[in-house]
Amino acid sequence: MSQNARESLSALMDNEGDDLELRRVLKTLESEPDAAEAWRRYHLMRSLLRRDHDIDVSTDLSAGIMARLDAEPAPAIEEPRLAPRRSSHSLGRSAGIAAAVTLMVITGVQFYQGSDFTSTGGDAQLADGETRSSSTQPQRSLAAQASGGSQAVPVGMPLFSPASSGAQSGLMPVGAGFDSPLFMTPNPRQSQRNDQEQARLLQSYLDRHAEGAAYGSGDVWMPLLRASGNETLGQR
Amino acid sequence: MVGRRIARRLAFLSSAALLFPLTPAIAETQAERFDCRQLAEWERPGSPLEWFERSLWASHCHTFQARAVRIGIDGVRTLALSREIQDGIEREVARFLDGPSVFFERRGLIGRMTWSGGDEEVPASPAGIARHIEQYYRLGMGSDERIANRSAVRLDIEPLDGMRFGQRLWLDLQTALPLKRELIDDRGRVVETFQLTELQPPELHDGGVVLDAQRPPPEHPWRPGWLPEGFIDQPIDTHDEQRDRAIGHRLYSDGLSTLSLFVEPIEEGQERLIPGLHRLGISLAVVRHVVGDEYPMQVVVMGELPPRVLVQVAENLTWREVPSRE
Repeated sequence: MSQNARESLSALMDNEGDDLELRRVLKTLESEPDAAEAWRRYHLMRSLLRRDHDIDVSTDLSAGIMARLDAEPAPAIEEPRLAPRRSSHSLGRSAGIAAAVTLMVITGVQFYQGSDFTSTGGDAQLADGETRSSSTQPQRSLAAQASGGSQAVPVGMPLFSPASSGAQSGLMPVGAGFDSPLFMTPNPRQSQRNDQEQARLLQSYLDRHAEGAAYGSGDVWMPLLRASGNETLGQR
Repeated sequence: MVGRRIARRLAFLSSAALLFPLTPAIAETQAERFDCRQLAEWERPGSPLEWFERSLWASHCHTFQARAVRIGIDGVRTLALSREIQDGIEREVARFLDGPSVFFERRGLIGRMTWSGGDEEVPASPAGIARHIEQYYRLGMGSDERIANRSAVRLDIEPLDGMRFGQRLWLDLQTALPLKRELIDDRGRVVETFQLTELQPPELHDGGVVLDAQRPPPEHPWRPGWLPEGFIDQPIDTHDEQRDRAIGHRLYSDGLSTLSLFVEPIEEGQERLIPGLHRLGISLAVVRHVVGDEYPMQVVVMGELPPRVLVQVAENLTWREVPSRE
């Protein structure tokens, strides 16, 4: 990995790169596997330092981001007064790019580990949060998180674009793009709470899926154990 | 040949119906029953497919207590299992022996292959599945092994296309009960293992097990425009016990792999899933928000299948031209 690429990478990590820099880095990532590795490592280190446990950078998203950049209209020639490359203007833009990168990582695949979303009282309280309008919801007790068990861990996986064409069958996607500011909250605790709510909601669908799968798949135990189960009160 | 054998077996069903007290829900329909006692007279299976079919009947007809482990994405969990049959209704209970004391309970019966469209007899799912899966999977026998201190035969079930997961099954030589099951993804990785570690001597149920009634399919204004080959509409009717919401649910299965399709209106102030691909354990869900039937709708396609299959199902949902809303 060249010194230039390393510097560009570093600048981007510090929100000091512009989109040209981002393109250059992504090009490098395509041709140099170790650069991609470094990119992931830097992010991982930063995430660990910031304790962003819910951001995983184990998967290479650069291809998807590059495609997205290519699809964007070419930037118009900037007005002459914006001559210096790393002005405050470019800082703002690059922060936006960095945010977009992060957003893509965490909207790639949401991965929720475990299935211990049992219907205890605390959980039931947590479960009624509205994902998109969390500001209107009072902060719920995080007791369920503190009690351990399931930690929602999103992982990136660029194989599915929710913004993909919905023109078939007369269906139109609504708010399904990467542009929807779903996870823009900078607060890791807030984000974790959203993940918990999403995981709990998802589990309610999985419970029904498991019930049906036990009927139709010739096996009972595996589907049954994917459902959420019930907390026992004392020994049975 | 399989069909003739099944017809003979099902002839036992109705005669058994009067011998047992029926639960209120079942009594209304004078449920058909499958007489489990006939299993004792069946010859030992020969081919992999016969072994597989026998294991399905055996799973419905035996009662036992066992210890087991499940090895999944979240690690290893040990379990106590019990299976009993009361009044023709099967009851399975599993309880985790480590971590939080969580238990799972299910009541079931012998299912049907699909909804009933008319006068045609819909086969019971063990017979139907056995006939069906051969078209989509290659079944082979592995070497004999010992599982839970019992002799077992191994069945390798490989999908013929990349649209579904495979399985390896170890069946008890004596009863054909599944002793171990591995779920194998499209890249050949074992993603989930369930294995008995100790099996109290299983008993063949001395009576009948209720066979699901034949029911017509419910009406929905939507249907999948594409499904992987061999996935059949399953006659199930699930409800969300936690939330009082009308979520349409259809389940499709090829006999081994299943996928669920959930469609519901998006309403202000109600929680919803973020569009994209989600994963919970080994189950994946593709979520889309679309406009269908003139309303914003949430579509969730869920299953233990390659993600592109779920994406394709989600992207090809079709709406009826003239929706019938109540």
